[in-house]
Amino acid sequence: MFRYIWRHSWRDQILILLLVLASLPIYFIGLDLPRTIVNEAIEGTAFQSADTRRVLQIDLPWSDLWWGETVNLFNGFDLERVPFLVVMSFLFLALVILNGLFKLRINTAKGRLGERLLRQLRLTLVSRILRFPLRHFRTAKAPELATMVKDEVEPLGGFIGDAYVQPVFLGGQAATALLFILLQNIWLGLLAGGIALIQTFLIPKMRAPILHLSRERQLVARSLAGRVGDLVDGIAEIRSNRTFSYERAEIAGRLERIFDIRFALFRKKFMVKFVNNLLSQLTPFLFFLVGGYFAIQGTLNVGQLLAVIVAYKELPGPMKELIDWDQRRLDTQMKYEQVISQFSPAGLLEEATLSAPPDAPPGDAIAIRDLTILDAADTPLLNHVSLDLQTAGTVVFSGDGASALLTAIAGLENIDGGDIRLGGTSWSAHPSTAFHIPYVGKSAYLADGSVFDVLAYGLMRHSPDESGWIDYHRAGADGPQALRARMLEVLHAVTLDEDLYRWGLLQPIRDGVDAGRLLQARRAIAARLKADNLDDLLEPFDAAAYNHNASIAENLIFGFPARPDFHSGAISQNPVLRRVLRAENLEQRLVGIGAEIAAFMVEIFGDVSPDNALIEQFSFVSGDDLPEIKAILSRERKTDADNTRLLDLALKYSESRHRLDLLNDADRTTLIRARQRFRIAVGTDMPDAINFYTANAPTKGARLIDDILFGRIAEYKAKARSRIEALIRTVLEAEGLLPVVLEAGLSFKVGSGGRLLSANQRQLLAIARAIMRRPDLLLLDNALSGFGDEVQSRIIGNITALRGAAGLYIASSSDIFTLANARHIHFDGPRLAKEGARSQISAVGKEPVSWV
Amino acid sequence: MGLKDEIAVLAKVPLFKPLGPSQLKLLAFTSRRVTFDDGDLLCREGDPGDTTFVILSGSAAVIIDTDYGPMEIAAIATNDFVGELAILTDAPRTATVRAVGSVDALEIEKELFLRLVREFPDLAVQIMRDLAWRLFHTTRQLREAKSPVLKRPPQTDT
Repeated sequence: MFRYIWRHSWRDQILILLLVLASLPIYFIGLDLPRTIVNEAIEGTAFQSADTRRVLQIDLPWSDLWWGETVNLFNGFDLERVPFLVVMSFLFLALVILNGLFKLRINTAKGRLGERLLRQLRLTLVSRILRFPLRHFRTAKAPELATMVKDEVEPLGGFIGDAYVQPVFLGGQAATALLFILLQNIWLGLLAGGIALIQTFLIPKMRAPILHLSRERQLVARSLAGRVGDLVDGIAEIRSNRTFSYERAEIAGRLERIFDIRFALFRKKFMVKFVNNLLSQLTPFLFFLVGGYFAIQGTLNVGQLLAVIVAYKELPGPMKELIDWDQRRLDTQMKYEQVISQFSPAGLLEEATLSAPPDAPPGDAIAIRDLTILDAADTPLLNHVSLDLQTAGTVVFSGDGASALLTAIAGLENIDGGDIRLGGTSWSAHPSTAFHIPYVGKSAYLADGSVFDVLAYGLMRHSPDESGWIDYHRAGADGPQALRARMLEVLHAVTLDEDLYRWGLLQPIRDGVDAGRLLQARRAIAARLKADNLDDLLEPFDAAAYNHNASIAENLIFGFPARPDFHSGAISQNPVLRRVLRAENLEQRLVGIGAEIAAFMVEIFGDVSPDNALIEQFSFVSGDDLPEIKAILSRERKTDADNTRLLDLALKYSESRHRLDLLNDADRTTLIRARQRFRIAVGTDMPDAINFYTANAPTKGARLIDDILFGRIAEYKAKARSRIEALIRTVLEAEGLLPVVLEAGLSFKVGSGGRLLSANQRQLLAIARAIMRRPDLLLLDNALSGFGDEVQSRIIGNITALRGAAGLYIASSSDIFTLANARHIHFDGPRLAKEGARSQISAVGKEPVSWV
Repeated sequence: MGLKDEIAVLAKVPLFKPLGPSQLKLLAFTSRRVTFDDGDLLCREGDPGDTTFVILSGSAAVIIDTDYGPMEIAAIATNDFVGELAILTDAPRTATVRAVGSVDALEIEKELFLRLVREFPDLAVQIMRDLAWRLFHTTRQLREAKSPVLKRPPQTDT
């Protein structure tokens, strides 16, 4: 650990050490000054021969030794007794301040050093995680790694700054104080030094059994807790076997043991304290005795004795801290080693491999020779398989080994024997080649961000240049506009364009969209709905009617909140709204409704594990907030904050979606009145806070679908959404607005891990992300297994049409999956069975019907 | 008809027997309430299916396409559960279901349903039991349907 710290921070460490060394002389002078003040100024020894005293005369040290005469650097000036006292006292003050400033500077530098090294250490750990062999992730647990990076290295940061500096600083201080005493009187110095030495060695020795005992105490206490748990679980047995006395005696025995340990602990602890105090006080005792004797004899003056005692007072502090430092060193060392061992698994990838610029194409042919891959239990997934593959064209692999082969080609799995040669380069010799073959597995992971971000993820450069991280050239585009066009093309190929259109409808209206066309579309849709007799599919925004398909908050705001304090998350605390609600006597009513919702949520989600996506998707509250809601409900007298929380729940309530039957007609009428009052209040005080819905202008910032429909889809009508979306599509197409919507769809946020998408959408998007890079070879390892064979074939057909002759390897767990114009290879267990699809093989006595 | 009535209907569906009252509420709350007009299709044969329906009121006809044109093979009514195969497998819809008169139903999404199953293992056991029972039933029907054919040759011999 010290090596690590020194390697990464030696420059700062030396700088701080120099600072520390520079501070020591000042510390020394600070110790010496009281003697001068007492002896010369107060007792007046310097003024016995003259009325004045020369101060600040500085001679070059040792100059008389070298030149035979004293070289005077600064002649100083003469002072009388009282001014001398004043000057000396102020000098003392200045030294104290200087000493403090040094400490401040040293501590700041130490803190900065510690934080800097902590940052470095964390980065090292995270890059190590990125370099772990994939196999290691089967056993490594994500939260454990995360807490190690976040919490466990934290104390290290505190220690790093102290690692070298603290012993030097404290040791230096102790040594300076000791030196000072020695200079005053060699015997007193030796005395103090001897006792300090005894302390340094004796106290840690005496502390060792204490540590041992406290560890034992922990173990015994833990087992007691476990035993009490057993008692609770087995209470029925205890009653029916009538073992009450027996169990109680057993527990009493354990408690006795704990008592013994704790008592021994106390005894030892206080013994150490006693010895420590005794030794500390022994020195002054000797000082008084021996020093006093010298003073009376006249070999030591009173000022010196006082200074010695003051200096001695400085000694125990640094000594104690030194002992503590050693303790911390042991702790930190242990933690450091533990963390490091967790982050050094076998087969850690080379940093150079991962950061190499992705330029090497895999070559034309892939030769697999005698390839063996084992799973975690050392059972072969592939056993001595040899195979020649072309990079171009489509190959379908089926059977058990298919998936292992694809992960190995992608370089995601280590190989246990044999070789994969990519265009003549051995896999083991140059695995980085393999990393440029995009691979999409069964459940692809999407990072948080928009659809655009997801698709651009594969295009990130090795390092950003002036145009940013995205490498447009790799996607075959010359700029952002062309890139977006390419994205639409790829999304079309993976059959996501319908979804993209739907995502686009949920995006806010962007600047630059023609308002006239939007209004035109709005009117056209209303007319079409009427003509097709479908107007019950839509509940229009009507200033005089409550909208059942919108939440209470949306009904009150009746527009798009442009200011953050009017957004749905903050609206319950908005003073304007609160005033309006109070004026309409709605506040208490809504708080009551909120309480009903809260009770319902607690009832139905109380048993569900708090991290279940169900809660997030359907509840008014997150899983972590449920306990708080529970607490609010149980409180007899609710605080203002409680009421706001309940009001917040009520405001999110939507009648058609939540169907809790909480509103009656009178409520709705009052809510409409409140809406009008609110509109007036906001309109006069802060007209830019909300873009209200109006029939003759688009609502700025609102979701496209809300604005274009100027209402809400009646969700309870079967297929209402799909029918209306289809209708909107034809209207948008007629108005030439469809490309705008599709482009807006790229801004749709997929949520962390892509959780706002369905599993199939995630897979398709991951495939699209891989295609965006225009790879020579693409690996799909059961990536489309959520779809039926027919749909799979269609999507793969689209992909091949888009990518031309570029290679596509597909692993399919379905034995009957076949593709036209593709080579089929079937694995029987870990061995290569036959070329040809499984269905073809089994059709005629295990012989393939046709070699493809 | 609000959530309370939906819960009462769900409680009568055999599949949901193992669920307690608060779990039924959860199921009702998280599923979608839909109404179909006469002739509307709940689902269409061959389409990918990712939802299942519990009929709250009304009735519907189950129709399959045959070589001789559409054929009605069953009728479903209140408390019936339809389309559950689609959410347990990735198979497309095996039949078309058409509303007869107006139909009120609860639509349960596949992902939601699977999440519920994961959360409440009792539900999974019930589904297994249900499927095993149906398999048993189908096998017996198959045996009964086949047995005259299998017995025929010896009969003709004698």
